[in-house]
Amino acid sequence: MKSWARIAFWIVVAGQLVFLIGFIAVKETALRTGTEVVLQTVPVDPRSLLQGDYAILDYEIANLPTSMQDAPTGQTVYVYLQEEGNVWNAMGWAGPTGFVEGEVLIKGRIDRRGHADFGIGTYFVPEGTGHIIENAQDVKVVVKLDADGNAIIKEVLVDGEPFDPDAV
Amino acid sequence: MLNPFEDFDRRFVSRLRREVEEWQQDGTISAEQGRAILARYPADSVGYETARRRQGLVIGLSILGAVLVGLGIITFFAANWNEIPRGVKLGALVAGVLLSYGAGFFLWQRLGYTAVGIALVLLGCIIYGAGVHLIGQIYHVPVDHPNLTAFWFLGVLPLAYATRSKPVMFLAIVLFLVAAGFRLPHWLAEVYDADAVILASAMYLALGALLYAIGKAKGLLDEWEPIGGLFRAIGLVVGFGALYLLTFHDLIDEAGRIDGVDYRYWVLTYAASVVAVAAMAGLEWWRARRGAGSVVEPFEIATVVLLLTASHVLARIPVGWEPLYPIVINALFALAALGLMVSGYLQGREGRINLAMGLIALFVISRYFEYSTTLFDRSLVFVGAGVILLAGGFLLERGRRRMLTSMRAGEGER
Repeated sequence: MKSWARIAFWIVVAGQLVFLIGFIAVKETALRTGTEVVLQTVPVDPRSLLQGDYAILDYEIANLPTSMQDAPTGQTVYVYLQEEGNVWNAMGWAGPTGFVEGEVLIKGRIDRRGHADFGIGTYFVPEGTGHIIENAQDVKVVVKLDADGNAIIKEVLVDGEPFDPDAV
Repeated sequence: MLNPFEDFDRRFVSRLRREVEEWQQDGTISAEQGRAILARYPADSVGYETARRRQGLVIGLSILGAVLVGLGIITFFAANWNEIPRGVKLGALVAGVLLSYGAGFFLWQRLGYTAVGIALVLLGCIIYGAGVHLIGQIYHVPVDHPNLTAFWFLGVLPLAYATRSKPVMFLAIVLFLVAAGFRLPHWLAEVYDADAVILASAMYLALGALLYAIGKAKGLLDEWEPIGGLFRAIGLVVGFGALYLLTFHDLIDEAGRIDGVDYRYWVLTYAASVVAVAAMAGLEWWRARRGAGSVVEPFEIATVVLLLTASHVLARIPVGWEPLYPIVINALFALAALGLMVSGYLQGREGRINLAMGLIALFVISRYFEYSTTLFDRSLVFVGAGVILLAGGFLLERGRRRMLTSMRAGEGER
């Protein structure tokens, strides 16, 4: 191995570590800042080969009004949220240019089913515990929203309590 | 210690030894002449074959070991044990990446344990990928998110070039292909299943051609030839695999007018096609200027152009022409496989001939199950396949006879 290749080797290794740490930092920042909302959901639980068991979360606010269902797949959609009781519900919808600063809104993309995909449809759980979420009467998701409406899952509430994989 | 990644000249001696044995068995040369030929090379080269086989075993075991440990680590973190705090998981992964790369580098560069060292570097690459997916798991990044594999690929590719290691490059190429595949559900979200398979096949055919062209370009430099060979081999497998999918007439029957495809799909597919053809044509032009052009290359370029054009036309599916497509694509597949066999023979590449034989066998079996409903149909399929294989056998046999004839003529002149 030539000397430049040795240097390149360690630069790439350092780059990989910086990337991993940066990836964590971006996600941690999103979790520690932003607006917190609680969303109603209905889950089911499959498995990923690389990441293990997870619950698919289908949000009530993902159902788009008839006027938006003909919009092309992949188009950006903003859902305006308003707190009603202990959950946040959809109060309005807008296309890619509908972003309004100061409003509580969540950003998504229109998926193949004509629903909004907010990038928070997956919740990874310890192996063999997906049934706890699937069998629950009521599942809500606590989500953090940044200023642009990007969402990240903070925690899942199962029948009003934070998800506990040790619960029977 | 023999270095399997750098001592390419020794491979020549090893191959020559096998050839000399065969020539002696054929009666082309005498045992004395065989000894005289081998005496032209250093004595330690003669024992190279045994050492090479042992080294091959070491490489195989080491790579298998690295892959198994990597899979174990991925599965361990996939279990998502609640008892292990988030910080400990992430710390363990970062430490695992550093430890694996450090140990691999030390064994390879300082102690000369090339095979085990490279295997540990490969393990580091796998742990890095596990890390990307673990972070995705911890922060609930959607499981079908296309960027995770892309991040893994982008981390591994530069390392593959820095180490010039075939196993690491193999992982990088596979990750590239998988990352491109993960984009497809997003790019083809509005397309129906059969159309999506056609479009995916057209894209992978283009990517296969691109990998093949890159492999040819790398083959120009001796030190990159082994990596070039890897690119060419994967390019051929991916390209033919994609073309094979297009040969099924059910796919065409179920296809409709393709619409609503994301523009990024077309950008990638057309860019890969154009770059592949331009690179191959450029290389041939450069070779021809140096007086090193060959008969095979122009046919190879023409075949790639033809296949890519056919797949692009197919991806567009003009209505009314559907019955023609399976016939054209099947004919192209058979011709391309046959061409691969001929080029393998002309260039002395045994692997290509074997791949072509395998493809023809697969093609025949597939068409047998797809079309044969009566004994008459089956008889046609078998006769057709038999003729193709006999023709292949004839070409190979004729080549061997010609080689023997020319060698005997050379001996007579001396």
